[in-house]
Amino acid sequence: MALLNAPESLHGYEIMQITGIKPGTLYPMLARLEDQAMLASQWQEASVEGRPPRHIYSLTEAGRVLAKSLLNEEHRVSDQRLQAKPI
Amino acid sequence: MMRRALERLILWLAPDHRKKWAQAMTAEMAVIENSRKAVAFALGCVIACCHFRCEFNIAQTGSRVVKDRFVILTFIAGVAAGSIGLAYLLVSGAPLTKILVNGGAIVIGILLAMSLRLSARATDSVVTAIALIGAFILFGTAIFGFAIEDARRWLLIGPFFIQTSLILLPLIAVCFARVQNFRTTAAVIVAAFAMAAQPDRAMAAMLFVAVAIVGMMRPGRLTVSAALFCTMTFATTLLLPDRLPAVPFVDHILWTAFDTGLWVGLMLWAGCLLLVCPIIFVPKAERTVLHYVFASCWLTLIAAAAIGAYPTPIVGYGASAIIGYFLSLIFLQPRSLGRLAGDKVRSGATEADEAMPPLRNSPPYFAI
Repeated sequence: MALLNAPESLHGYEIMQITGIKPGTLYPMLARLEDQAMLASQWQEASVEGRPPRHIYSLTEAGRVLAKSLLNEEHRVSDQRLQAKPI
Repeated sequence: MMRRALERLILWLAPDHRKKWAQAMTAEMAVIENSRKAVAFALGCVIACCHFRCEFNIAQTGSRVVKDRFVILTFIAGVAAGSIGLAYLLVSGAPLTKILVNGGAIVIGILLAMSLRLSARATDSVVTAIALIGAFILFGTAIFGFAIEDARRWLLIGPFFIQTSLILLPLIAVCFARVQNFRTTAAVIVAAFAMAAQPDRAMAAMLFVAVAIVGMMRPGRLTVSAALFCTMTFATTLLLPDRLPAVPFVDHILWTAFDTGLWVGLMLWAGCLLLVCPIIFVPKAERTVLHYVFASCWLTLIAAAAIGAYPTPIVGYGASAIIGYFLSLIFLQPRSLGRLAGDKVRSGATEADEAMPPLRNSPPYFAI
């Protein structure tokens, strides 16, 4: 979801800061998403000299469709909860 | 310092196909200015890499089990049949020494199979060398071995009479199924000649069936020549007299076990079937000449034991067959596991013991 709303690709540490997910969970999740072709990753040269290139992540088209459908589903469920009245 | 150590740990933990993720993690660590935050991030990355490593190891173990399922099943079948044999010896009142010999052979067989499978490389030259060495030991047994009633099948090693053919012939058959070259063919011919010289119908039949299968599945000048030679040597053993009397707990037990009890007899047959059934669990498309040769070797020996006075492999008394069974597992993976003198006094001799041939009665040796 963080990647869906992001204007550009994000680094791993940025995703961690936005979502609050710890790296022990985040990286296996990202790796699995990439295995399923939902996520694209590429190396980006570091802006500061002497630092290693960093990985940036973005959603693929399939990933974007999946994220949107999950988001819609979440909205639908929360709407239903709000509309539900106690008997 | 700590950062560097964690970086190295992350890179070391990640399996090869996840190395780029480990590099990405260490690159992220480099941009975190706050040391405490960097170390906390690094520890999280170590957990992620442990996750990658576990995932990889589980997948690898799973694929190895699927790939080696024939060997694993054959190994389990051998242990199960051996245990059935021990139970049979126990309930049918066999002397304790026989039970100990069979039990010891199972342990030795398992250890041999495991250690050799882990250490020996199944290269063509190793397989060829083992086939040749085995064949010459069989030939040596036929010439210099211990003889009973004109059958010269045993080597005296320490206090044990070893029937070398039961140990080495299945291994030679598996070697030939694996590698068919001039030297393995020569090994088969020497072994077949030794079986005719000993003479031993059951073992000659086993070699004939195994080599015939190789000849049919991999037809060629060498395999067909070997099959023809084995046919001749097997025919020779049929013509030669076989006067060896049946030995209690060794020969004819597939029928005599029913005298002890119906379930004992059925148990022995089940144990025998176990030895040949692992092939059923290999899909037909994946079966190779090795699978067929291994199954047919033991099926032939069981058939021989059911028909004549020949040792019943694994389930009957006899360490040689047990060791031979486990030994033949080492090259199975396709390319793409007596009685003491004075026992009569110590354990009380039965009528069956009295009928034992000289070998089994010769003090102080075990015939295994």
